[in-house]
Amino acid sequence: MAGRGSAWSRRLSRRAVIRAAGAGVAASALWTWSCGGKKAGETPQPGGTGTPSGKPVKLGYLTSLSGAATPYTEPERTAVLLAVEEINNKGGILGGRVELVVRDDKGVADEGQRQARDLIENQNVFLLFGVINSAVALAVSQYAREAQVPFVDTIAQSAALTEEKGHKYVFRTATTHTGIASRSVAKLAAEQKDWKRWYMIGPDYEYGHRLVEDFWSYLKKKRTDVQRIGEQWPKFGAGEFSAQINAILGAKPDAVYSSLWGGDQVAFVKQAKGFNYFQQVHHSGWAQVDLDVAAAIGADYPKGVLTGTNWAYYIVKNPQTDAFITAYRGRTNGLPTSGAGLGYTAVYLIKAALEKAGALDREKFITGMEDLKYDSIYGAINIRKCDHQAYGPVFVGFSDQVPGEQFSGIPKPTVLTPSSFPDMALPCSEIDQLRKKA
Amino acid sequence: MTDPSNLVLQAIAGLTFGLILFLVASGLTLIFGVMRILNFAHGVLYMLGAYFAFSVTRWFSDTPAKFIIALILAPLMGAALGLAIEFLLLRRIYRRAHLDQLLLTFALVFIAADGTRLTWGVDFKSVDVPPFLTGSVSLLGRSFPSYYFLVWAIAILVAVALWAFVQRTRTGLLLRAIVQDREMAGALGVNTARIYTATFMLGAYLAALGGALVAPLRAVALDLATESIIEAFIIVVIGGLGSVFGALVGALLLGESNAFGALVAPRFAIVFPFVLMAVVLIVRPFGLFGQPESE
Repeated sequence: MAGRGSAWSRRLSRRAVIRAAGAGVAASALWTWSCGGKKAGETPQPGGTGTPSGKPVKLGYLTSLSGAATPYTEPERTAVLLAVEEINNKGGILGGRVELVVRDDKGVADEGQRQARDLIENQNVFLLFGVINSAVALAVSQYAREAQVPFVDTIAQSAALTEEKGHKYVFRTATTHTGIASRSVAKLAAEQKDWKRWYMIGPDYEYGHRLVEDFWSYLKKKRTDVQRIGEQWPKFGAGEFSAQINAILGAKPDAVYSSLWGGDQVAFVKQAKGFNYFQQVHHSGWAQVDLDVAAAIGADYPKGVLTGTNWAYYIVKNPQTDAFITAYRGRTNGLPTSGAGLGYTAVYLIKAALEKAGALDREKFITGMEDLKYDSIYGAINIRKCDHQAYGPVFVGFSDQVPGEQFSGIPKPTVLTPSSFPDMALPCSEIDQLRKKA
Repeated sequence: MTDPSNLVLQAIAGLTFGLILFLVASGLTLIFGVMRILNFAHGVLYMLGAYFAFSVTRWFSDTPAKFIIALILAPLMGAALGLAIEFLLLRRIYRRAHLDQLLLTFALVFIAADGTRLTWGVDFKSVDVPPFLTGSVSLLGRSFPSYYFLVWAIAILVAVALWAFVQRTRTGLLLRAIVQDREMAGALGVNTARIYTATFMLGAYLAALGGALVAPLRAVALDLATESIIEAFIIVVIGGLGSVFGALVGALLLGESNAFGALVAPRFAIVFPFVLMAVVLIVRPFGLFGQPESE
């Protein structure tokens, strides 16, 4: 009896272990959650003075505080806290003190929606803002629409949020999304006469695919002689790219467009260098030399990579940027990344819209955001009424050493603005059509 | 596509990835086989190996051989951490249900993630390729990173050493006895507690070695903890629980399927490992080199 019993329990445990292994694979797969793009920024403007005494302005801030997004979300959070503190030191908004309620969306759509609901129903926040992951942003946006509460997206980059899935209650204060970003890079790519045979690589999820498709459809429109000869879709966070690099080099493209970001981007560049990749193809992509990545790779980042950014502290020279850099450095000892700029700008845009509205009223806030013009750390920006998307300068160019620094960037960018490069934005009529179809 | 040198180079890229995966999976399968513990924290030990390597290269920043020192020290630090985990935590729950063990190792993942954040911050860290390996060698008319030869050398050395340890030493013999029939081994007087500690330390050493070795090829960041762990689980299932040789074969299979998937069907390359696992589970539920339960 005892013998049979133990054999049975052993078999059971073997089965349990295999089942557990299956659960392990599934759980880990869930864990490697996908993330939405990045980027955006802002400055103190003399408002009121003294201690705020009016009705507090309670803002619900949703962000991912763990996982692959933290190199972007931590600087953003630092900058959001900085902006709130600056505003409160100068009299708050409409005389009321700004109160921040921070929640971790864990990079999961359901969790983001749950936290959004809790912020609205139990914390009584005036509005929601934040979010880096595009899937979370779309879920929160849907909830905001039902609850009739404004949601201001700060980092998440899927164009869908303000294009086909846009609505009255959702705004994006980042001056780029996958469409704006890709079309801006594609404009310069189209000017490179002998870049004809293109190869695409990106992480296999919404942001990665959308950035590539937006780029390719615009390039095709501008150039009839380009050809897409191959593509690679590694999983997000793969870390290992030698097989992809080898396959790309074997296909002998003229140029490569990449939507890899974050740790993947660092890993790709480090590995590609060993294959002499940068001597064989022209590499391009959005946000390829943003500070977070460029600083990690250091002084020997390859030169001549075609890329773009919404902001870099060394590009824009204006009093707002200078004040922001000084204040940010005072807090962290580090330089502000594009993620930090995004959070800072968002808070100041919310303030500007509320002051334009003149009252702590959601419907009036929406009108306040529409056609809002603001001098930010990026320069002049404008939130367009028809899609609730912020537009401002976009900086594209080739990677090179940033003078006086140990890292690379785009020290001599071409500055594209909505007026100099109207294709940056889809026409309002097209936005309407997209929304009707969706 | 038809160029045969392309295929050879792709196979070599797959081999490199496979060997890296082997370092992670071999420790996982040993811990699995001997201790029957599904070590969720294995990915964390891999990540910490990379962070340890980063710190060691900082401590010895003026020494030309700093990365070699890191390759020696980081895995030892991993093993020390493994000792602490086994001695202070795991040891207390061996008699409990699998679920409790799972929960404990899963909790370690979160503790380690926050600990890492507090210690190193969240920004990407970088470890440089050692100066004598920064270049590339010409292979079939194309450039191939010199550093990968170091990866091969170390992974092959580890594979041989592990084989010799498991097949040729007395501890290895006891270890195999436990994998095969733990109750009988215990009844025959094998000091299972000591073997457990040694196994977990060895597993942690291998994971940290893998992390240190890939540090120059990656961004050293928190997401390293999840980077290879799914593959490692798949490899262990494919190769058979507790079989180091199975882990080697499984790792190489996965590396090559990834490489040729990228060449042949890049849109679907991402599912190949799962298909491979599913097929193996259907045909040989106990894995390619695992043993069905003996009665």
